[in-house]
Formats: sequence, structure tokens, C-alpha cells
Amino acid sequence: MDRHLFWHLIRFDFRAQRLLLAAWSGALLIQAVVFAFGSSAIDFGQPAFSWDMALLIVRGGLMMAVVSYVIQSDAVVGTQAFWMTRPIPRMAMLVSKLLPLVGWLVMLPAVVTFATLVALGLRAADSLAGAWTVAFEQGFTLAAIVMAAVVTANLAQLVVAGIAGFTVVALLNVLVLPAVTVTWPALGDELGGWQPAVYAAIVGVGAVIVAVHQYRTLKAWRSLALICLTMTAAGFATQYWGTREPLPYGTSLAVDTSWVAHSTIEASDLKNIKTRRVTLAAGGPDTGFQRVWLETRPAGVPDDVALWPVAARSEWTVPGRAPVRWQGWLAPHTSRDNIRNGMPNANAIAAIDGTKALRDPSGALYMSAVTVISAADYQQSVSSPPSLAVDFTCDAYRYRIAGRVPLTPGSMMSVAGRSVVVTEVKASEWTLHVSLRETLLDESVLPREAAIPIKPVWVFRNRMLKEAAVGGWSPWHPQKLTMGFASTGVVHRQIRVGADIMNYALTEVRPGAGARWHTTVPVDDWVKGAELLLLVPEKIGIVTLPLRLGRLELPPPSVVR
Amino acid sequence: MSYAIETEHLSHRYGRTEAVHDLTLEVPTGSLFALVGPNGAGKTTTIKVLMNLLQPSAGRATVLGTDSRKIGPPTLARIGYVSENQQLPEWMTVADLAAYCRPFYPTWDPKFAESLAKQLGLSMTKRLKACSRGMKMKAALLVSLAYRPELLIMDEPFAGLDALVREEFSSGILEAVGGERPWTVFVSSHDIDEVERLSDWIGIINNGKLELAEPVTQLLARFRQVEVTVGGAAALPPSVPGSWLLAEATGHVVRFTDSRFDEADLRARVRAAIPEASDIAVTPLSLRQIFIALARVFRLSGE
Repeated sequence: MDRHLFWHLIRFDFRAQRLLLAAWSGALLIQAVVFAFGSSAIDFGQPAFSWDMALLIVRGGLMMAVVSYVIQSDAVVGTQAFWMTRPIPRMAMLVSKLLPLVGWLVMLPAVVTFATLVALGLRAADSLAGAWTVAFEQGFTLAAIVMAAVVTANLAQLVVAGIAGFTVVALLNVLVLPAVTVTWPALGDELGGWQPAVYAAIVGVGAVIVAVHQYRTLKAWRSLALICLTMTAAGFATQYWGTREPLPYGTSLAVDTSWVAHSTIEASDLKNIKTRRVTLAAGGPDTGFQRVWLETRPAGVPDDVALWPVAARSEWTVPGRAPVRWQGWLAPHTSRDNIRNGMPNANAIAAIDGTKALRDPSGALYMSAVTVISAADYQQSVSSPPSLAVDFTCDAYRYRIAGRVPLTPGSMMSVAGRSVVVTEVKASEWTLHVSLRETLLDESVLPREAAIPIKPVWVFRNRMLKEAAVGGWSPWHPQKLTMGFASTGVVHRQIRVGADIMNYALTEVRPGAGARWHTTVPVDDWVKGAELLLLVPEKIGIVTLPLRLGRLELPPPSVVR
Repeated sequence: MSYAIETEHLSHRYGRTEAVHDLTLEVPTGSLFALVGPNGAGKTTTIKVLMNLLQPSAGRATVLGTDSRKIGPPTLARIGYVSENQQLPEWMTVADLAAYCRPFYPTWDPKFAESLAKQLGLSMTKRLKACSRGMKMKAALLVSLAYRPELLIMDEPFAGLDALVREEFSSGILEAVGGERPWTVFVSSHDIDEVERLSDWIGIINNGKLELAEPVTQLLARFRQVEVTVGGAAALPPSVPGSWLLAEATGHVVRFTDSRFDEADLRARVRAAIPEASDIAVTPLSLRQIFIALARVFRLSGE
């Protein structure tokens, strides 16, 4: 088919879908305007309507509709489509559908993003990185929708297929894959490193294969099987690419085990967790078993080192019973709230020479591990005190100051692949109001960022006073920034263009009712001479923390069934 | 004789259901061939295989000399296709539809298209969404004739059309086909009345099997309704000849439909089978009557 006919097809598609495309483009432009000029804050403490999120949802829905109508207006399922009986090469029809979709739904948002970021004063390289992230996310979304669109006849079917497909893939990835691929330590956490890229690449290639197959053969069931194969392959592949290497056990640091053993062993709920393999002496089948949750706080870690727990091995020994061993990844959290969002604040503050945090939120890192023992073992432990050995494996990071900039409007810092512009600093008797605009690229997409669980930290410091407060945020979990003041209400607003490519941070420090400053000077004086620092974590090694706990006294079982 | 369409032992299955079974068919070039059969007989499936919308489960088909599995743009450019089930791009006007189709056909004749539109009474500026069923079929016919295809395939084109539209539709086809170059028309229908005027060849399909295929004139010549009057009470002969369809005896009369009528030896054959015959009356049958007779035979034989 010559180029004339190719454009002929595209022109008619464009005419048919012009209203939808206009609506989608309008939503994109409104997003860009809100992104560039919006300034109203949203308080996370209260339910709030988020325009940027609403626009994102609207644009996502419109994108699905556009793809559906463009592809399904010349359907490739069934035998009734008009075009199938006309001398139109099937591959030409496919290309005439895909190219405009890629141009309109992938390239255009990327271009708009780039232009917006440049207009906001960001460097071209940063803007390009932001645009690439948008193109990546849009391309992945388009690939997924195209796969569903070529095997369905209309938008309603596409939506149903999408929901069903999402459910199947979720079940596959969450339940089936770990069950069939787990070898210690393989209970991975969220996609990180190269996993999103691998996943998206396989889905993208798979989408092209599915579309080509469907256009060539018109056999929807086989295409559906190819979709399942693609999603399964993507799920399997991400189990092997980009995951962390099994961690070798390395350096050991001294641990105050007596303190740990003395203070933090807890037995959790004994009656609600069940297993079939236990029979109690009381007679009859019993399904109870016990779980012991060990939480520890290491001691002896240097002030400028942050530890991030990644894995644990445990061995539970009840005299006269076989040892029970457990091993696995640790979830990146504990029962304590001291390391939320990958940011051990106290350690970050401690990295700054002699600087005191305005308020130390916790100053400690906790780790936890769960070990499971049978009801019979637990009964035995009442008369024969058990012992527990746990080895925690942690990554160790040391913060370094990567950049600094005066805390005055117009100051700009570009470091570590990101830029931040101080747009506004206001101080009153009771309020410190700092507006920052930074490129915070989607951390789940950027391998460099995703590989490090402990995030870079923004620190506001007054050098003369040697006082500082830490800020930090995650694109996925809007949070109150702990600025170091009691009852601090920090408003942090995110605006997205296409993806979580950029955070527009409006940071307010507002002491709440009854709160008071912990600084030594009034706020406006504190701001004078203050600076903004970026602390970047660098991995310095792997640390093993061995805990050996003997003759534990556990609380007696409260329920025996 | 050359054939525009040929099938050899063609079968197509939908799962366990065999919609077309062992179909061997030849459609002579230049003929107006009507494939007739009740609903669900396999007509649409046959046409979809011919158009490469479905693939044969067994056997083969060739259309304009091309294996149906390999039918692509070059062959489709020589075929016109109109179907009652086809999903037209309804957002377009009739003019849009014509403009959309035109670049795909090197032989598209704008003047011919214009005259066809006038003849069919089409409003070119009306959106297809707003058109009646008959208007949509006419629009589909317009964009299937305007490039003067060598073969026009129509699947139940008359279904649901009123008498006037049907007349205009048929006239449009006959007008187009009657040009300098002979076209082949292959049309399917479940109603013989709709195609009687159009066709010079006829095929009857039932339960996926082709029961007959021959020129209409030949079919009309070999079928007769015969009534034999006898002296006493009428009775069927112990051995009814195979060519006597739907034979029955009532009162003094034996009636049957002769499917191998031959003026010369009819009376001799009748007297051989029914010696007491006193009078033999022979009546020609219309295509519709033949079709109904055959349909009854198929039903009685359980096919």
C-alpha cells in the first residue's frame, strides 16, 4: 500500500475520533497548565479533591476510549467489519492504527511535558528525563490497552477484559509466581531496579506480537492465549531480572543482645492463626500454632550510617523438639514509625557536622522478624524455655551532602540528576512557609533511584544555629514532612503530567494549636541564613546483626483447643 | 467453461457443529448464481469462507482463480461484497463512504458511481447512522459496484427490505451487470422469490450440504407436477420410482412431482408403474414451487 492510502486511512480515523482526541488533548493541556501555574495546597490530613488526580483519571479514561474506538472502529474480531472485505492490507491497517496512537498518546504528552518543564526553568536534560518518563508510562499503558482492544469488539468488552485481565495478572503475580519460583531469598518486594523496564519491554513487544497475530489471522482466542503468555512471561522475567542478588552474610557489628532480649520480645495473637498438623495433648485435632514477633533495635551503629533491614534467618529451638527455621525478606517497615518512606531522619541529621535536629523523631532504627512455631512446641516451651537465634541482614548507607543552596527565592540546585528551585520563603511568627519545585522522577521507574531503598533527603539547616529539619517525600505516599517541629502540619502537593514525573512541593511548617517552636530563635530569624541541603545515601556495605536469645520466657498460651 | 468460484469437498466447523459439509460447487463465469436454502443451511458460512473471513476445516475453495486462504487485496479489488450483517462505518455519510473506498480501487468509476447513486435514490449527504436498513444496503451496493468488480458476492441482500427497495436494489444490480463485460453474481438467500428475477443458475443448500446446482432453465424443464387418474381407488405402486417426489394417492388420483421430466417417455413410465392409469395431467412448476417441493422432501428425509 502506498503512502497516499496510508494517510487516507489515518485521515478518516482522525475525522472519526476527532472529538475524543480533542477532549483527551484538552485534558492534557489543562494538566500542564495546572502543573505549571497551580499553587493551591491540599492538606493531607483532610479529605481533599485533587484536580491533578481527577485530570489524570479523566485522561486515562479518555485514552482507553480513544484506543478502543480507533482500533475497534475497524474491528479485528468477528467477521462483520466492513474493511475486511475491502482491498486493504491488514498490516497496513494495523500500522495506520498504531502510528497515530503512538504519536498522539505517547509522543504528544512527552513533548508537552518537556515544554512545560523547560518553561518552568528546568534544565533541558532534566526536562528530557521527565518527558522520557512520561513517554515510558504512556507507552506501557498504550501497549496494555492495545492488547485488550484487538481481541474485543467494543469499549464495554474492553473494560470487562481489562478488569478480568488485571485480576488474573494480579493473582498470577501475587499468588502463583511466588509459589512456584520462590527460593530463598526470593520473596521480593515491589518492582525495583530494572524490573519495570523489563516488564514494560516484554508487555510492549508482546502487544505488538498480539496485534500482528490478530490482524494476520483474526483468531481472537489464540491472541488471547498470546496475551496470557505475554503477561506470564513478564511476571516470570521480573522474578529474575533486576531483583537483588542473594545477600552474602558479611560484617558483623556488636549488638546489645541482652537489652534486646530483655525488652522487645513479644508473643503475638496465638489463637487466630491455624495449621492442621498439630495435635495437642488435650486431645482431638487442633489447628493452632504460634507466632513470635521479634523486634530489635541495633546498637553501636555509627551516627552517619543508616541501616536498612533486608532479610532475616531465624532458628527457634525448644528443648526436646526439632528446631524450626525461617528465612525470608523483611518488609521495609517495622511496628515502629521511625523509618517510614525509607528515611531514617535522625541518622540523616546526624550526618551533618554537629547539627542538631530541631526535633528528633526517634533516633533509632528497628527491625522485626516473625518466626512460627507449632502449638506443640509452644506448649513444650512453657516447661522448657526455648532459645531463638536470628540473623538480620541489613544494607548500610552513609549520607553525604550532595548539594546546598541558600534558602532564598530563586535559588536553584542541580545535583544527582534532579533540580530544585526555591520559589518562595515566607516566615511569620508562627509559620515557616517554603515552596520548592523539584524534579522528582518516578522512583519506581528510574533504576538508579529504585535500587536504593533509603531516599535522598532534603534538609533545611541554619548553619549558625547548627539546627536542621529534614524533609522528604515519596511520589506514591504523600506524607507529612517531618520538619522537626511538634504538631507540624506540612502540606505537600503533587501534580502529575502523565506520570509521577515531578513533585511540586509546597512545604508549610505550621505549628498547631498548643505547639511551640523548638528553635532557639523566632522563625523569621531562623530563616535568615538558612540553607537547603540535599543528602544522598551511598551504600557502604552489608551488615549482619546476630541475635542469640536463650531461655526465653514466653507468656503461657491463652487458648488451647 | 471457466468458473468464478469453485469449491471442492469444502467443509467448515464451528466447534462440534459442521456448518458446511463436503460442498462441491462450480459457479460459471458470467452467471448470476443464487445459493438458496433455509436459515442455518450454511449459506453465510460458505460465503465467509469464499471471502477468506473464515478458513475451511477441510477441502478448498478458489475465487477468481485464487485459493480462498490466500485472498488478499489484489483479489478483493476484483470482488464486490454486500452482506446484511456487515458493519458499515456509521459515522460516515454515503459520500464519505464512497470517498473512503475509492482510493482502494484502481478501477473505480466516479461517473458510474454517480449514476448508480441516482438510480438507487441515495442521499449522499446523509449519515449512515441515520439511514434505513434499505438505504444502508444500497450504500453498500454502491461502493461494491462502482469499481465494476468481476465478481459480486451478496449475502442475504434482500432480507428485511420492502418491495420497492428490493425492486430498486435488483434493478441496480441488473443494470450494472448488463454492461459490456460479463460480471458474475453470487447471491445467497433463504427466499427463492428474492432471487428468481436475478438468477440464471441456482444452487440449493440444506444442512450444510449442496442438494443441487444447475441452470434455472434446466431445473424448470426437469420438474413437473403430475396427476394420474385411475379407474378405481388410487394406490401408490409397490415400488415408487426415485424421481417421483412427494408421491401421494387420494381418491382416484395419484399425485407426485417428477424430478426427471421427459415428455417423450413420461406416459410410458407412468403406465408401467400404474397400469390402471386412465388419464395423465402434467403441469409445469415455478421455481418457488420446485423449491418448496424440495424443501418438503428434505424435511421428510430428515436432512
